[in-house]
Parts: sequence; C-alpha cells; structure tokens
Amino acid sequence: MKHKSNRRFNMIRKVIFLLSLLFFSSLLSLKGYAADVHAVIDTSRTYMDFTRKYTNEYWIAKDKTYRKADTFIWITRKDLGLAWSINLRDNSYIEEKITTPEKPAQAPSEKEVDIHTLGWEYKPQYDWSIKETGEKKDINGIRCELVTAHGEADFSEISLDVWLVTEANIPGSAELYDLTVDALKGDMARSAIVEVLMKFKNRAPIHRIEIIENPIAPTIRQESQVKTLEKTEPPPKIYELPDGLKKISMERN
Amino acid sequence: MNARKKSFLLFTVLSFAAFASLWAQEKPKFELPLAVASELRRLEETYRVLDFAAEKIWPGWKSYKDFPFMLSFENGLRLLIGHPTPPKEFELFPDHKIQDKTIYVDLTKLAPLEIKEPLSCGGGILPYGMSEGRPIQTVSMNFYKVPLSEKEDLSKMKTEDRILIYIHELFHCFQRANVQFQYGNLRYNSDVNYALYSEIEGRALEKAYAESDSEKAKGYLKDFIIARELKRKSMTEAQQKEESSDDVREGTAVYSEVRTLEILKEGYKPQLNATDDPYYGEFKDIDSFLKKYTERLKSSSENIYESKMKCYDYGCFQALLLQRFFPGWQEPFSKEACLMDDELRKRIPVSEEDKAGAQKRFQDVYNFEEIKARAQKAMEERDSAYKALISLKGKAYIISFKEVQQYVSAVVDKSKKSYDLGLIKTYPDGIGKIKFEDVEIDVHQKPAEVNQLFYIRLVDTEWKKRSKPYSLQFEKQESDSVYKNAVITNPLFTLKAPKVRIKDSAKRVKIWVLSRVREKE
Repeated sequence: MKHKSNRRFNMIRKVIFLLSLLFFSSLLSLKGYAADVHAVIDTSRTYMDFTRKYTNEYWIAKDKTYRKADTFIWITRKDLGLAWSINLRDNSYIEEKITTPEKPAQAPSEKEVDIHTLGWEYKPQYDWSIKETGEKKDINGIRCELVTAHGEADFSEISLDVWLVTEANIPGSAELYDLTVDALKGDMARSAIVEVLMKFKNRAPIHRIEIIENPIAPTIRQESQVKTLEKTEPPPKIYELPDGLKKISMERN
Repeated sequence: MNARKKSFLLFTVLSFAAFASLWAQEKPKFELPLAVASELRRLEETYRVLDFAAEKIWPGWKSYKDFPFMLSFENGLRLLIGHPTPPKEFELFPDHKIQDKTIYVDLTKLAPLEIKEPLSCGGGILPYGMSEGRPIQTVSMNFYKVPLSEKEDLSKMKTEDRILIYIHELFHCFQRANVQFQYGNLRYNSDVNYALYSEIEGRALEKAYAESDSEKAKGYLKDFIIARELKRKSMTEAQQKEESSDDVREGTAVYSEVRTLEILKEGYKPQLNATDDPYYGEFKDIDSFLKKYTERLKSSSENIYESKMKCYDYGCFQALLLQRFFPGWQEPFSKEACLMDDELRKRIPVSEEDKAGAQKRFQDVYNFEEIKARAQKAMEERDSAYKALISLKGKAYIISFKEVQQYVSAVVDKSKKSYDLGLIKTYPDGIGKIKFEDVEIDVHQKPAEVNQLFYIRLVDTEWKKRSKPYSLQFEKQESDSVYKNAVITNPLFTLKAPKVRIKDSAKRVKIWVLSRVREKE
C-alpha cells in the first residue's frame, strides 16, 4: 500500500515538474516575444562641402516602430494604420495614414510611356557588380563580413561598402534588415541599394559607406554604423503619442 | 624661472614668430580678378536699390540682407559672402566687405583659366550649411563665359540685368517665410491641347496688360481664365496646382524685378557709376528694361513646346494685373498658400455665357485655328524625333561634362533644331561641333541626345562590326583610366579634352571630361 502511494506520489511529482517546466518555458518564450529590438545608429552625410552627423535610436516591435533623431520622433503603428511625425521643438505632430509601399521603380515599357511626364524623372537602371570579399571583423561585438557593390547607370553611379552580420539569426538582425530596406525604398537617390541588400536576406547592415554620384546634384557620401543592436524590453508607452502635443493638419486645399 | 629657461622660451617664441612670418610672406596674396570684383560692386549696388525699393515691391520685404551669397566661377573660384559658418574650404578674404558682410574665398579648386567680362550667370537658392539646426538658405550664383552666339551683341550685356537677377533670387529668399506654397514644381510636357490654350492664355495676358480700358482688360483676363481651364483637361489635379504654384513662385520673383524698375523711376540715385562699371547704365533707360518683359511674355506665349518656363512670364503678368486692378492683393499670401489664378477667378467671375462665347472669341481675337494647326505640326515633329532617337539600339557612349559643370545645350550652336521632353533633349539633325576652352567635340551622329543637362548620349548601332569601340591617343596616362590631352575617335564623334577618364563596360562607354583647360607643364 505504502509502495503504491509512493508510486502515485512520484507520478504526481513528475506531472507537477512537467507542468511547471511547460509553464516556465512558455513564460520564457512570452518574455522573448515581448522583447523588442533596440538599435542605435550613427550616421554622417556629406553633401556640398558640409558633413551632417546625427544619431538615430530605434525601437522595433512586430507592428510598431519608433525612431528618434535630435528633436524629432517618428512612430509607425501598422496595427492602427497610422504614422506620426513629432517635432519636440514646438510639441507638434503630423498624423498620416500608412499606405502600401509602391513596388520598386522599373523602367516603363514603351506602351506605358506618358508623353506628359516623359524625361522629368530619371530612374537609373543600375548594372550591379557585387563582391563578397570574405573579409571579416567584429564591429561593436557583432561579427560582420564585407560586401562591396558598384552600380552603374547611364548618368549615375553608386558605390557601396557594407559590413553585414555573418549570421542572419543574430538577435535583431532580421528586424533591422527589414527596417533598413523599408527606409531605403522611400529614398529616391538610394532606393537602388535595396537591390544589393535583397541578395543577403535578413543580414543586417552594421556599417555601410555609400557614395552616390547623381546625374546633376553633387556627390553624396553617407556613412552609417550600428552602435547598439539588442533585444530588450522597451520603455513604457514608447510607441504611443506623448501627451500634450498639438496636431498639425496636412490637408491640402 | 632661471635665465636659461627664459632664454629657451624666448628662443622658442621667436622661432615660431619667424616661421609664421616666413609662412605669411611665402603665401602669395590672392587678387580678385577684375570681373569678380565687378560682381561684388554689383551686389553692393543691389542692396542699395533694395534699400530704396523693397518695401514698395512687396509689403514687409525687409530681410534682403539676411541671406548669404555664393558666387562660383568657371575657374573653380568660389566666394561666400555673409555666411555665418563657411566650410573649411573657404578662407577669409581680408580687407574686403560688402556693406557689413564678410567675404570668404575658396581657392582649393582653382584652375588656370582667366575670368573676364562679360559673364552670364544663373542661380538659385541652396541650403548651404546649418545654423541653429536649420539649413542656411544661400543665394548661389554660377557665372559663365558668355556663349559665342550671344557675344555678337555685347551691347545687350547690362549690369542692370544682373542687379535684377540678384533681386529675383533675394525675393525667393523672402518667399520662404512670407509667401506660402503647398505644391512642388510642375514637370509636364506640352501636348496639342496644352500648347493651343497656353498660347491663348499668354496672348490674353499681353492684351490685358496693354489695354488701358479697365473693362476691356478684364475681358481679356476672362479669356485667360477660360483658356486655362480648357488647357488643363489633360493635366492631373496635382499638375494643375503645381503650375499655379510655379506662377506664384517664379512669377512674383519676376514681378519683383518689374516693380523695382517702376519704383526706381521715382528717383533712385545710383552710387555705382559707369566709370567703375562700363556695363552699367545707372538705370537711366528704365523703359527699355520694362519693354523686355512684355517681349518675353510674347515669346513665351508663342513657345509651343514650353510648359515649365512659362510661369516666369505668365505669373509676373498675373501679378502685375492684380496689382493694377486690385491693390493689396498680396495680403493673404503670407497667411495661406494662395494662387494668383484663383485670386483672379474670385475677383473676375466668369459666367456660363462667357464660356459659351469663348470659342468664337478665341477664333476672332486669337486666331484659334491657326494656333491649333501650328501646335499639331510641332508636336508631330517633336514626337517623331524622339521616336527616331529611342529606336537606336546598341552600345551607348555617355560623355559627361558634369565634372567641369558645363551645361551641354549652352554651348551647342543655337541654330540646331532641338526638342525637349523633360530633361531629354533630342537634336534630330545632330549637335555638330562644340568648343569651350580647350575642350572640343564633333558629334557626327544624327539624332543626338543631351540628357540630364551635362551629358551627351550617343548610340553605336554598329559596334559589333568593329574590333575596337574607339581609338584613343593621349600625351600622358595618369592612372588606369585617366588620360591627359586625349583624343578619342570613333564613327559617332571625335572628342579632344585636356583630361578624361574612360570606363568601358559591356553596355556602355563612359567618358568624363575632367578639365576644361590644358595644364601648363
């Protein structure tokens, strides 16, 4: 009888152990899910004799992003379909609806050409030569590999030196990669760089130097380096509009 | 401190002082070319003209001395005037000031090219540098040797025109804070409908301005309003707003020039004189300058292909007519983004009856059918020239003049026929020979393309038949791809240049002209 009850006790102990294991592991995974990506990136941009330096701080969650540079904050809330641009200087903000990003620019076929707009916007079609140099180094504790690329079009060129994380599964890499691709897509002069990054899916660019020779405007040199890349708990309400801001209307007459 | 220490310190200080004075002596003093010094005097006179006229040109215009100027010359010389934070390339140019403004010079890219009058110039407003977290709006003026085609009539070179250009650009600076805009620049190519009604618009403005009877003048303004509505059938709403915005942006800047001239008639006493500046007529013949604006409106109206540049003249005359009939019209422009054509519509209502009678009036007054036939023929010519250009397939040759900042069309013989579609300029009969300083190119291909202002693009349709795409002769090779005193020849063109870089790839050969003058060995 005693033997039987010991067996039952052991059984209960095992079940309790398994249940608690399940409970704690689910808690751990929940914790992992709740952690957002935090990145700090230093950028310098040289254009027309002047170099402008700035630091961007990012928080990236599943449907939300936060970016702060100087006295400006940009919050995107895909869950709400909204984007806010906040100016801390005058405590104002602009609210815009998030629209589906357009497909990357492609040369229109001859049939699609509208004579009214022809020739006004130069969309370079780059021929890329991309080289995985095999050169590796640690940047702020992250193992990186150098890829160089040169894009050549009729009237413009881009040179790119980019140190990508060696492994796409480094915490935060995929999220930072997506964010970088999204940001570049929206920048007309630099959107072609996305074509290079697409070949290295989810490998975040940790340090990159871009030299853009525009057809008419002077050369742009831009350098960005990730100082911090981590997964951690975000500060409370980071993706919310701060209190007391004045909304500015974007409506056009 | 003991004597030995003292003497050591004294020796060190004296050594530094001697070195510094030696350095100062060895550094040659830079003398401004006479043509550049003249430009500074003209800028100074501009400020005096504005002291006299600004407040009457546009209520509240006081800020004209708040914006720095950058003057850039073909020899690489740059001057920065009144800039609070000049970049490291610029050094103080001592003992020279314009009013209280400090002058800096950039000599880092100076080429051995003589800068002589007369010079032509163009410019715009550039954000150049930052101050207190904001871009510094700088008036950037580029000076060029007067093109050969214009050199025949040097009597046309007038300092007054230069002063008016400076005023134009300074008015753009004033607009930043005082005239609001919601739309960007129009980027639109004309079609038959646009060309037809645009010409009627321009002629209506011309007639309204010339008409002394107010009611008749307003009748022409109704024609302008109706023609504008009909013209815009092929434009998107955004393009329509952009066009009207450009009328305000550029038209009011040209209006500031015309108003300056009108106000100077009230008795301006110039301080710069014809002895200091032989190109200066001291604004004695103001009517001849005013006449240019009506002539420009006429020629702009008749320009079948133009869409973007008409805003200068059409906008100016809308503003002048608003000023004549509705003084004080500027008031709402600083509070919200207003459009001058809207202001005219509000004040000169067009009835359905006016619209119904417009077609007959357009025929009777403006010769509608004749304009239409002309526009149709012109558009067919333009479109077929473009089709011929894009039908060329093969290896591309791109010759870049960006490094020497030479707009190609500025040095092409003006008699060569050309058609613009955006920034693509088609020369159906080729561009022939071009020469500036020590650069020469003879283009044999027809049609030829000039694109993005700085580039000639040619297509070699028979490149596969030849073993070498081009032949190259040079005096000296500087690196893998840079050649000095080079001559590049192929069936499409012959290029001679003091310095070039060449890159040959599967699809294209790119040639950058790196210098406009031969270096002295």
